Amino acid sequence: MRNRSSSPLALARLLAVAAILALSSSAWAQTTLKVGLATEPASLDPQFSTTGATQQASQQIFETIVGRDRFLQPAPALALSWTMVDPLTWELKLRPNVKFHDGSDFSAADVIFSIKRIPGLADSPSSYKRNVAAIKDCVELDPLTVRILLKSPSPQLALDLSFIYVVSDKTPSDATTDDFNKGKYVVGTGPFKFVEWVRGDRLVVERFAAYWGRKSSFDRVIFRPITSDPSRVAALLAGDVDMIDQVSPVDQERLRKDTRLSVLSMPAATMMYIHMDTNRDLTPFVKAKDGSALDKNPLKDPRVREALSIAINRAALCDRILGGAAVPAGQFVPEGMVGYAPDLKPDSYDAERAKKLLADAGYPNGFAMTIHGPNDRYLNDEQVTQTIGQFFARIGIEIKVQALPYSVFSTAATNLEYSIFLMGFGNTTGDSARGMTAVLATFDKATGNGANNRGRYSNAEFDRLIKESSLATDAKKRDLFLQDAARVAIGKDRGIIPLYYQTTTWALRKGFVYETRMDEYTLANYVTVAK
Amino acid sequence: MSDIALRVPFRDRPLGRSLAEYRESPGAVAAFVVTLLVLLAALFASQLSPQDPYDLSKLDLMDGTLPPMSKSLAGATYALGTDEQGRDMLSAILYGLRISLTVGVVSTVIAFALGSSLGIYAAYRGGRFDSFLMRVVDLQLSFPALLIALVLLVVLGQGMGKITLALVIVHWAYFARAARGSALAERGKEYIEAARALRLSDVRIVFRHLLPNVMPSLIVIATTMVARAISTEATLSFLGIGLPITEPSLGLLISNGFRYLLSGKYWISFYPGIALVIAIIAINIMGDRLRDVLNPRLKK
Amino acid sequence: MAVFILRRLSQSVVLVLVMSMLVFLGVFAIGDPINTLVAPDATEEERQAIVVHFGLDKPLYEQYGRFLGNALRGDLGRSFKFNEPALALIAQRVPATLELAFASLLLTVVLGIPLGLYAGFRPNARSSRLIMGVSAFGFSVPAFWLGLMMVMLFSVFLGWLPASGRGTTVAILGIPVSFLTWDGLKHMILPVINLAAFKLSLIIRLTRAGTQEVVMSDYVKYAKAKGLRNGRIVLVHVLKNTLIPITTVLGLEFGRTIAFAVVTETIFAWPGMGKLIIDSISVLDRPVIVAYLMLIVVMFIVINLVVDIIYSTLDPRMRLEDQR
Repeated sequence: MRNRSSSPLALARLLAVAAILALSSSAWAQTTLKVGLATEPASLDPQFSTTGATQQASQQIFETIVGRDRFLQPAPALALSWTMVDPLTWELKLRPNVKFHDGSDFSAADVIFSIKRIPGLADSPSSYKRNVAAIKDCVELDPLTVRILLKSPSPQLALDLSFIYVVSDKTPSDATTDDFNKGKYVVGTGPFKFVEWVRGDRLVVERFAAYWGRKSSFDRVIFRPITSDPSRVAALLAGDVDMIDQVSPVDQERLRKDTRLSVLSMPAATMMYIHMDTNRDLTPFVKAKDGSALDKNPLKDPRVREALSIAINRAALCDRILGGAAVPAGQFVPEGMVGYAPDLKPDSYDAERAKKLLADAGYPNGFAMTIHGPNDRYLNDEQVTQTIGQFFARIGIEIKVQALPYSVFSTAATNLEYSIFLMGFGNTTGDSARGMTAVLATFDKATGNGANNRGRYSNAEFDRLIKESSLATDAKKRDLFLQDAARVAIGKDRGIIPLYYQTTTWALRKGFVYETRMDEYTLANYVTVAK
Repeated sequence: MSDIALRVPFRDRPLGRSLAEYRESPGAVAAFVVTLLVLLAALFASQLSPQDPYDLSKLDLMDGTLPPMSKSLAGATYALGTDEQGRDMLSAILYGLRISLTVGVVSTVIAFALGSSLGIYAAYRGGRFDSFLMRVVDLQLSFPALLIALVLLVVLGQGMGKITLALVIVHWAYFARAARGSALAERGKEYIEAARALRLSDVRIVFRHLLPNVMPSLIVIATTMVARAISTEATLSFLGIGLPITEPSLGLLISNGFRYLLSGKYWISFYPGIALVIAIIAINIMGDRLRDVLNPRLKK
Repeated sequence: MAVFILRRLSQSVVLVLVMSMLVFLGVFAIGDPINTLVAPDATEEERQAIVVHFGLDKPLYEQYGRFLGNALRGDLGRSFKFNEPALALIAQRVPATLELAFASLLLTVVLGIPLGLYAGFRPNARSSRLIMGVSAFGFSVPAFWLGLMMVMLFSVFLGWLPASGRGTTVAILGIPVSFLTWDGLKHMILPVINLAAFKLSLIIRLTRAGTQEVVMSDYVKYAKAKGLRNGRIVLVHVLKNTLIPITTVLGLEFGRTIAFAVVTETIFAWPGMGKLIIDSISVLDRPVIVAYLMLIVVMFIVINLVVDIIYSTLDPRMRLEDQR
C-alpha cells in the first residue's frame, strides 16, 4: 500500500473499495469458468467429425446414447441399459424425463433420428459412419425403448453407440454444418446450453437448468483456443483463464511448484511407437556406413528390431524429454484396457546386449540409418525422435534424424518412402482391437485391415487371432484373443517398437478441481470448485 | 603524383579520415569489436566449441537441461547449460551463429542483387517489362514463406542450401519493389534525361547513374533484411520446416528453446536469443556508422 | 487515371488465375490432404469414400478444372476440414486481422517518421544514437521470441495486460472491433507492438538515411545559407525525397502484416487470418489455401496500386503509366 493513503480515513476508504472489488470479482469467478484449450472444434454439428477437439465441444452440449466413463468404458447415459436379445437384435432402455435445451422431451424418436442421420453426412472427413455400419435398422417399441437390428453380430455395439451424439429429431434433414456452426440446431440434452461461437476466439456455453444429471458449478463457461503451449501457460499465470489443458511437459515442473496452481495428470490412451519397414528386402533409408547400399534390409531381422528396442532407455526418455508425462509401453494399450497382456513388459534398456544382438545379426559395426518423425503432431515429437536417434547412435548406428510437418511426413510414410519412423495411435475405443488391426494386421485394401500398417508387417498367426477376436461374442474370450495377438506381433516379432503412453496434464487455479479423463477431453461439467 | 599522395599523412587521406571519424564514437568502436568477435566465433566454431553439437553419439540425455556452469557426467563444464538432449548450449550457439549468419547474409545478398537490379531496370525501361515484373512481384509477395519452404522441403529436402533458396525466393520481390520505387523517382530527374540525351547505353545509365542514387535507401533495407532473413529462418523452424533439428541454427535453437521460456529453464532459449540480438545490433551499429563516415555525400 | 486503374485490375484476373494454379501444384507437391484429414484409425474403405467425395482421386487437372468451373460461378469451394465455404471462413477472420494491421501501421507512421527525422537531423546526438541502437533491437529478435518475452513481463510478472485473446468487441455495422472498449484496447497493445517492432525500426532507419542525404545535399545547404527556416526545408525537401522509399516499404509491410501475421496471432491467440492460413497449410486444406491466397494477391495488387498512385502525387514526374 502506498504511503499517501496513510491517513485513517483514506485507508478505510481504500479498504472498502478493495473489499467491494474482491467481492464482485470472487462472485464473478464462481459463476464463470474460463478454459484455455489447445484445440478448437471443427464444427458444432456433433455428428460431423470424430476428431477429439470436435467431440470435446460436443460433449459439453450433447450426450451420447451410451456414455463413456473416464476410463473409456461404456456407462449409462441417455440409454440406461443395452441388452442383446439375440446376436442380431439389441434393445435399449432410455432414460426417462430427459429434456432438450429447447424444452422438448427426449425420446426414442430422437435416438433413431440421430442414428439414421449419420450416413447422410457425406462431407465429413472423419465421419461416424463406422459406428453405425453394423446397424440395419432401428425400431421404436415405446417412447423409451429402441430395438436395434444388426447386419452381422457386433459385440462392440455398446462402444459404437458411445460415439453417437443425440440431436433432436426436430433438426431438419437438410440442416448443414454451417447452420450448426452459426448456432442453429445446437440443441442437445447435455449439461450446457450453447450461447455463442466465434471461431478462433471463444465458445461460450451456459448451464442448462433442467439437466437430468449433476448440474455444473458454473453459470457460464468460456472456452478459448490458445494453440501455442507457452501462451496457454502464460494465460493461466496471468489469470486470463482458470484452467488449461495439454500442459507441455517442459512447463509442468515449474507449474507444480506454483502454490497458486494445481496440476493434474492422467495416463492417456495414445501409444507412441516406432514403425519399421519389416517387409521389403531393400529399404531406402538404411545403408552401410560408407554410404553404399546394403544387400538386405536389416530391419527385416527380428534380432535387429529387438536390438533397437532395448537400445532405448524408455524410463529416461519419459523422464527427461517428456517431463515425466509419459509411461513406458510394452504393448498397444495400457493396463485397464481390453487386450492388455499382463506378461508383456516394456523392453528394458540394455545397450550392451543390443550391440551383441546387432553383431549376431551380422552387423558388428552397425549401419547407417535415417529416422523420420513428425514435428507438429504429438507431444514433443521432434525431441523424442532426436532422442531415439541418440540412443541408436550409442549402439553404433550412424543415425540421421529428420523431423517434418505431419502433412509431409504422413504422405511419405503412407507411400512407404521411409525405413523407420515415429508414430502414435490414439486408442480411443478402450481396447486394442482397432489399433492392432490398423497398425499390425496384414495390409489388405479389400478388407481395410492394416490401413495404418506403414511398415507392412505381416504374420498369418496374428491375423488369425485378430479375426477370431472380432467374431467372439464373449467379452472374456475376445480379450484373450487380443492378448495373444499382442504377444505374437509385439512380444515375439516386434512388428512395432512400443515406446510410451502419453499422459495428459491439466493445470488449474487453486480452488478448482477437475476429474481427469483418459480421452484427454476437458469437460466443464467435471470441473468443480473445491469446498 | 603518387609521391605527393603518399606524403599526405594517413589521417588526412579519405580512408584515414573516415577511420578517425569512426573512432570518435565509442559505441561504434565497441560494435566493431563485438562484430569482429562474432565473426571469429562463427568462423572458428568447431575449434572453440567444447562439444560437437551435431554428433548425436556425443550427447547424453542424462546431461539434459542442466543450468549454466553445471558439470557434465564426463566432468566437463557446460558454461551456458544444456538443452533437453544434453547438448552444450555454448557449442550449439557458436555453430548456430555460423549457420544463421551464413544463411542470412548469403540469402540477402542474392535477393538484393537479383531484386534490385530487376527493379531498377523495370523502372528504367517502364512499359510492358515493368508491368510484367511488378505483377510477378505482386504474386510473389502474396505467396507465404511457409508454403514456399514446404514445397522446397518436399521437392529438394532439408538443408542449409534449400533454406537459403527459400529465403531468396521470399525476399527478392521485396527488393525489386523497393528498388523500382526509388528508381522511378530518380528516372524523372534531369541528370537521367541528360544521360539519355547523350545516348549513353542503357546498362551504363542503370548501373552508373541510377543505381548509386537509389542505393542509400536500398542498403538500409538490405541491412535490416539480413536480420529478417535470420528471423524468417527461425520462424520457419518455429513452424516446423527449417533446418534439420540435429544441426541447429541460432534461430532453430531459439524456437526450440521457446517452449522453455515459461518453464524456468530460461537458458535454453534466452542465451541463443541474446547471442542473436548482440550479433545483429553490433553489426547494424557498425554498419550505420560506416555508412555515415564512408558516404561522400554526408561529408560536412 | 481511370484507364490505368482498370488496366491494373484486369491484370489481376490473370494473377489470381496463376495463383490458384500455383496453389494446386504446390499442395499436390507437398502431400496428400487425405492423410492429414482422415482420422488416424480410419479404415481403407472410409478413406476411399472421402477421397472420392472430395474428388482427390481425379487427376490434378480435372480437380483444377472442376474448381475453376465452380469459381466462375462464385463458389470457391468448401473447406475440407470444416465443411464451411472457404470464403466465409476467411471473412470471419478479416476484421480481427485488419484491426491489428491498421493499428500497427499507424504506430509505425506516427512514431517512426518523426523519430527518423530527428535522428537524421541530429545524426551525432546521443539521443539519436540511442534511437538507432534501440531500433536495431526491434528487428534483431524473432517476433515469437519478443512476443513471449513481452507476455512474460507485462502479463505474467507485472499483470498489467492480458496475455492473449481479443477481449471485448463492439459491433460496428455488424463487424466486431476491439478498439472501442478499454478491455479490447488492452488486448491489442502487446500484439500491435509485436507487429510494429520490425516495421518501426525499418521506417526509422529509412527516414533517417533519407533525411541525412537531403540535409547534406547542396541545395539544402544553400537554402540554409540563405536563411530559410528549418521547418520549410523539412517539409519541402526532406519529406519529398524520403517519402518515396517509405511509401514503398509501408505498402509492402502493410500487405505482409495482413497476410502473414501468423506468429503474432499464434502467440497472442488472436483470431485472425494468419493463423487460419497456417493451420490450413498444415492440414493441406486446399480450398481454404486457394481462396485465401487469391484474396491476398488481389490485396497486394490493390496496395501496390495505391502506392503507385501515391508516387505520382508525391512526385508529378512519376507519371502513371502501364503497359501500352
